[in-house]
Amino acid sequence: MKNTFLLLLYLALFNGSVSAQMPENVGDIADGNRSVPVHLIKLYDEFERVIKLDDRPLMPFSSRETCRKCHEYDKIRRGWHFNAADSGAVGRRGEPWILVDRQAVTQIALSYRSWPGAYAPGSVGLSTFGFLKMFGRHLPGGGIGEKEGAQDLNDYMRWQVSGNLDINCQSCHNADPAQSQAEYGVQVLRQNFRWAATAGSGFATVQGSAGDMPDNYDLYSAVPPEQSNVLPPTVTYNSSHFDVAGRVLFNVPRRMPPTQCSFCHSSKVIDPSNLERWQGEEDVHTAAGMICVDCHRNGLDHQIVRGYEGEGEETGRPAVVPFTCKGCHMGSIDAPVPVEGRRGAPRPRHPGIPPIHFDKLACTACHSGPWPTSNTQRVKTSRAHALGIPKTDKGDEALPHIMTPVFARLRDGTYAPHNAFWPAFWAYQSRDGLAPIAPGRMRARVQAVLGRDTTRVAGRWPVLQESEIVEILQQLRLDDSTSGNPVYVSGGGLYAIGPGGTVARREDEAAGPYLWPIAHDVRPKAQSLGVRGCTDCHATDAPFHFGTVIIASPYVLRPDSTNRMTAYQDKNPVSVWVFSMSFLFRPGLKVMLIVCFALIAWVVLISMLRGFAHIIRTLAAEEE
Amino acid sequence: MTVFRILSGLAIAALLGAIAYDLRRSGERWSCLGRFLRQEAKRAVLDWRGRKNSGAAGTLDILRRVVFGVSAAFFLVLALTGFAPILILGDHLSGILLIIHVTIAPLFALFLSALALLWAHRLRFDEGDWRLALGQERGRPFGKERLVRFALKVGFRLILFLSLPLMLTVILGLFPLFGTEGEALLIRWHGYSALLLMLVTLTEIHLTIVYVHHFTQHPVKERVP
Repeated sequence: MKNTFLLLLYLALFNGSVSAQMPENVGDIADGNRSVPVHLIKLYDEFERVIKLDDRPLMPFSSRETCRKCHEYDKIRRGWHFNAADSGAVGRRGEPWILVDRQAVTQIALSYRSWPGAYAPGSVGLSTFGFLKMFGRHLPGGGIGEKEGAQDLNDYMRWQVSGNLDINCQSCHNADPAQSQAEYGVQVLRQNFRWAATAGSGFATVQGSAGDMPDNYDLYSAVPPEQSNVLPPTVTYNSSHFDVAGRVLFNVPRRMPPTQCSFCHSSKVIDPSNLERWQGEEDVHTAAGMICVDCHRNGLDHQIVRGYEGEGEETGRPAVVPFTCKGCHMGSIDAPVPVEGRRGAPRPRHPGIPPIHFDKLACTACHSGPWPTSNTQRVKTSRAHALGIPKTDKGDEALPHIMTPVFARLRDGTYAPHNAFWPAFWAYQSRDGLAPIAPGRMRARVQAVLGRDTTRVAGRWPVLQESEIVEILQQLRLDDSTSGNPVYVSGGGLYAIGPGGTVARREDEAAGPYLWPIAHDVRPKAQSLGVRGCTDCHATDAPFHFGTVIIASPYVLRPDSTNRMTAYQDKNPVSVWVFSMSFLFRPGLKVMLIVCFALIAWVVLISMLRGFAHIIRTLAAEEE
Repeated sequence: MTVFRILSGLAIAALLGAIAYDLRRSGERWSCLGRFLRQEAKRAVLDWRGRKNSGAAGTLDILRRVVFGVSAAFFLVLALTGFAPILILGDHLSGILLIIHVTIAPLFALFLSALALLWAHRLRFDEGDWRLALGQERGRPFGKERLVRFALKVGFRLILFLSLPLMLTVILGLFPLFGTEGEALLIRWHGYSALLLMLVTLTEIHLTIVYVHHFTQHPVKERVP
C-alpha cells in the first residue's frame, strides 16, 4: 500500500516535471537568424486532419491546429487580445464594446474585463455566443470564442453548428494583400465561426451561413428538406495556392504592417473642417516609417505592450517600462543601460515649459489626439461603429456618439485626452447598485410608447419625453417590484419617478461618462499643445480647461447638454479661470520683473563698488 | 525634492529654534512679535496723522516703513505658499497656492525694489561699520546696539543680493531658453535661493524687532498714557 502511494506520488511529480519542462515548439525557438522563416505549410482542420483539395466535404482550416504544429497555442491564447474573460487580466481602462440598441434607446459599455463603468455582457442578457454574433467581427478569435466553460447551455446547439471561434492568427500575422479582416467579420456575423479564418485568408471562398442552419444541422449531412432554400456554409479553396505537396504559403513577416492593426484600431474624428480623407494626417510615428509593433511588442505569450505609464508596475512586468513615450524619448534613470533614442526617437527639449507640467500631464495631453477645439468632436472607432465591415453605417451621426478629446484625470493623477461616451440604459436600482435591463426586454415596450407619437421625427437617436420616461418606468415597476427602483440612465444623470409622478434627476457615478485614454494619433512637435505659448492651455477660453464637452443624450429635456472640461479634471473652475486670467498680464509682469531685477542689481552693485572703494581707501591709508 | 525638503526643514527648524532661544534668553516670548506689530501699527497711524507737521521727510519715513512692512508680509506669504507644499506634502507647488504665489511674487519684487531704493542710504555702511567689519576695532569695547545695527545692514544687503538669483531664475524660466533639465535646474536654484533668502529675512525681521524693541525710544510708549 505504501509502495503504491509512493509510486503514485512519483508519477504525479514526474508527470508534473515533464509538463513543466515540455520542450518549446520548433517555431518558438529563435536561433538568432534574422531572416524571416518561410511559412509554406500544410493546412489542418479542427480535427487535426490535413486538408486535401479532394476532400468531401471540404473543411475550413483551423488556425489553431495549423499553427500549433510549430507554435505553443496554449501559451498564445493567454495573450492580451484573447484573455479578456480571464480573471485578473485587467490593466488600464480601455475601449469597451458598446452595445447600441436604438429601439430600446440604449447604449451601454460592455467588457469581460472588470473595468469600472463597463458591464459584463451577461448582465444585459448577452451570452458568449450572442456577444460574438454582435462583436466578433472585430475580435481576432480565441478567448470566449473557444472557452467552452463560458458557453451558455442554451446556445449549445448553435455552437455545434457554428463551431468555435478559435484564434485567427492570420488576423495579425498574414500580410498577404488578399487577407481580408472584413470578410472574416462578415463570416462571424453570419455565425460561420469555424469558417471565418479560412474566408479571410484570401485563398478560399466561403458561402452560406451557419446562422440560417437549423439547430440539428451537421457538417457531414445535407441540409434538411425544410431548409433546402438556404445554402449551408461551404468552403472552396483556390487550388492555385496549393503546391504539389498540398502546402500553402503564408506571408508572415516579423514586422507586421500597421494596416493589420488598423482594422480593429482605427478611429475617425468627425471634424466639419476636415471632412475629406486627403485632408487628414496620420500618426507622426507611422508617417516616419514606424509600425505599430515597433512599440507595441510582444513575445510568444502575446502579452502585447500597451505602452502606458505605470503598465510595468500594474502587470508586474518591469521589462515593458522602457516601451512608453518617456522610455523611448527620455530614457529611464532606473535602466541599467541607456534605452532612450530607440528607433531614432528624438529627445525633446521642451524649452520654457516648467517641469511641473511633466508631473501633471501625460505625454499624450499635448501630443495626441485631435487638436482640441472649443467643442469636443465626435469620433467613430472600428469596434464601436463596425468600421471596415461592408454595409456598416458610414454616416457621421451613426451611434454611439463618442466625444473626443476630453481632458480628464488618469489614475496616476495626470491629465490625458480621453474618448468619452455617456451610457443610456434602463435599470433597476438597488442597494447593490444598478442592474441594467437587457435591451431585448425593453425594445417592444419602448417602441409601443414611442410609436404612439406619429409626428415624431425618426432620427438616429430617438428622443424621449418626460412623460414617456415616466410611463416606461411605471411599467417596469409594475413588472417587477422586487428588483429595485426602476431608473433610466441618460446624459450623465439618473432619472427615476419623483414625487407627483414627475421625472426626478439625480447624479450618480454609474451615469457618468465612460472615459478611456487615447494615445493616437500622435501629432508632430509643431502641432503640440503649447507650441504657440502658454495660452494654448492657460487662457480663459482654452479648450484644455474650458472646452465644451457635449453630452449626447436621448432624453429630450437634455438632448445634447454640455459640461465644462474642468468637470472631468477634479478642479475648481474658478481657480483655473483665475490662474488662466493671470496669463493675460504675464507679458507685463515679465517686464516688471526685469525692471525690478535691474533696480535691485543696481543697488547691490553700488554697494559692492562702495565696499571696494572703501577697501582701496583703507589699503591706501595704511600705505601712507 | 527629498534633499531639498530635508535641508529646508532642518534649516527652518534650526533658525526658529535659534530665534526662540534668543527670545527666551532675553526674557521675551513669541507674543512680543504681536506686541511689536501692534505698536508699529499705532506708530504708523500717529505718524500718518502728523505727516503735515513733519513735512516731506516724515512722509518718506512713513512710506519707508510701509514698504518694509508690506514687503515682509508679502515675503511671509510667498514663503508659506512656496515651502508649505514641499515641507508638508512633499509635493510641487500647485493649485490655489500656486495662484497665490505667482500673484504675490511680482508685487513682492516691486516692493523689494522700492525697499532697496528707500532703505539703501539709511542702511549704508559708515566708517565705524567698516572698521568693525575689517576688525580694526578689535580690543575696543562696542555695544550690542551697534552690533545689531551692523547685522541689520549686512542682512539688508544679503536680502538684496539673494533676491537676484531668486528673481533671475524666474525671469529666465519665463522665456523659452532652457529645456526640461534647464528648467528643472532653474526651479531648484529658485528653491535654494528662496531658502537662503528666507533664513536671512527671518533673521533680519527678528533683529529689526530686537532693535526697535530694545534700542529705540518707542514713540508709542511715550505718547500713550
